[in-house]
Amino acid sequence: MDLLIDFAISLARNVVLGIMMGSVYALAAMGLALLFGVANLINFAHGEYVMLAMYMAYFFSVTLVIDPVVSSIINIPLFFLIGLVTYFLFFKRVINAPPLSQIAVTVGVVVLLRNIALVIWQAEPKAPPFTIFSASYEMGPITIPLDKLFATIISITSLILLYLFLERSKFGTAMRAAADDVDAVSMMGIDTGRLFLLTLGISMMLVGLSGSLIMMYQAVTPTSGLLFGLLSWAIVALAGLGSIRGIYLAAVIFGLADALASGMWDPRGREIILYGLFILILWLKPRGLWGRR
Amino acid sequence: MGGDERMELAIKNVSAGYGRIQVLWDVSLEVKQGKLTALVGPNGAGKSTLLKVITGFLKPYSGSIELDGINLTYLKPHMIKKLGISMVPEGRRLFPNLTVKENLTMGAYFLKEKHVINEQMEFIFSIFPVLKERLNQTAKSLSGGEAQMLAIARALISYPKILIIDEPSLGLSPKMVSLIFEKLMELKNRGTTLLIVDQYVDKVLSIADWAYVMENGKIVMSGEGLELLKTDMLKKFYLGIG
Repeated sequence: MDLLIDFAISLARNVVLGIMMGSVYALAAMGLALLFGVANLINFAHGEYVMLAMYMAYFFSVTLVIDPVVSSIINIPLFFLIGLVTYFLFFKRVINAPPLSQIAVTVGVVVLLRNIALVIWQAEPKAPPFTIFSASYEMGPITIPLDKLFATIISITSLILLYLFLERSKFGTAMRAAADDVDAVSMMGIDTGRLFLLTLGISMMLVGLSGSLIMMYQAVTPTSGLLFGLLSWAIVALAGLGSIRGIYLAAVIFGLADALASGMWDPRGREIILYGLFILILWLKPRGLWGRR
Repeated sequence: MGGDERMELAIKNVSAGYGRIQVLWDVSLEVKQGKLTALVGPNGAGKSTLLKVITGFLKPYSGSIELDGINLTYLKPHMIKKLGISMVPEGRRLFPNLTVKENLTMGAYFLKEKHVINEQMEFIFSIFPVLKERLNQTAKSLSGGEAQMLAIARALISYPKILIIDEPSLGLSPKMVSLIFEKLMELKNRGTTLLIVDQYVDKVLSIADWAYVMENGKIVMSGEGLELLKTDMLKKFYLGIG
């Protein structure tokens, strides 16, 4: 009987943790989905930018003695700028190119960023040494760390703001229109180069924020990009393109799988479960659960 | 200007193609203000290629495109639109997941003043009242005729100097084709400058002020619409009579 209660408590704890982790993963996946949906750009380096954002969150929290959550205030505009620079350096030339050229260029960016991280921060995992939200909230037998709860609230709020931007603003409507038909968008007198540039900027803002928030959960190494890149692709594959709610739900499914695999089975089993799930989705539902195309 | 007819669009000696495959050979064509100009010809004559050159999606090997004396030849598509050339592309190319209202908003994207946009919306609804009823429906839920009307409306809302329509009757029932041509007549009577490319040669020639016949990438004939309709060659080739 006690065993059963322990199991139930552990399960509930990991479910809560999974939902909170999924909410943060949703930000990274949304960045990828926007770029892929609007600009048709296959960014294999997406995870590497998340890794870079995690390092920057670490860097700011150590040098400025701030919480990694607070580092997002710097990371968001910083990554918007990194997005603009990335566009001119790497992506501008391949945005209308066939997928193979895009893969070649973005894989090149993967290697570049990973090695820059290796040179600057070495291979040992880095984690922010402290948080201002050391307290936690007790909900019966389940403990909810306040920093993670805060990260969840920020994630959901950001996604709602993004939704309102895409639905209500003229520029957001143009981004959705581009997801339908890019050439028709330029026929409307809209400079698609500028549209792609700003889409990459917004995508990177989400990456910057997600990097700060993921630091609440785990340390960063130069190879973290592999996990978060594949995780983002897996979430987008499960959700399909075209719906923020779909991305959020898919991210929560992966968050749950992640938390349950690490917490109830074996932390080393985490990646087996996540990638196994990814392959299963591609096999069963290649268009995603809520995709419109 | 004076008392002369003002020339709007002038295509001068355009040769163009895809890589080494040349499609257009020394094509010249004029679209005059307030007139309905037709461009007809069989499939593969190069009509769509010419429209791509006009709207900036394909750069010509040689020749030029001018709008009121401004050279458009090397401008990007969005600049050409801003200078006043709107196109309803073949297959309409609406934004299927956007609502009718959002499609129209995209058409009016570079109009900045809100009252101008509202005026243009009202103007559109006076011509296509059905769109007002469908305002919050997605474009993909529209019938073929409604979708064609939305495509024309989306191109018209930015108050273009010239409206180009590629295959307005494609994929529509004869009844819908008649309705669309009624709307085109209405636009013509309101003074809109039109360039229409169509397969329904008899229909488009009967409302055209001036028409060009294209074949194998060359303009082979031009004249008043009704006059052209009477020529034997056209009857033989396109109408299958005579």
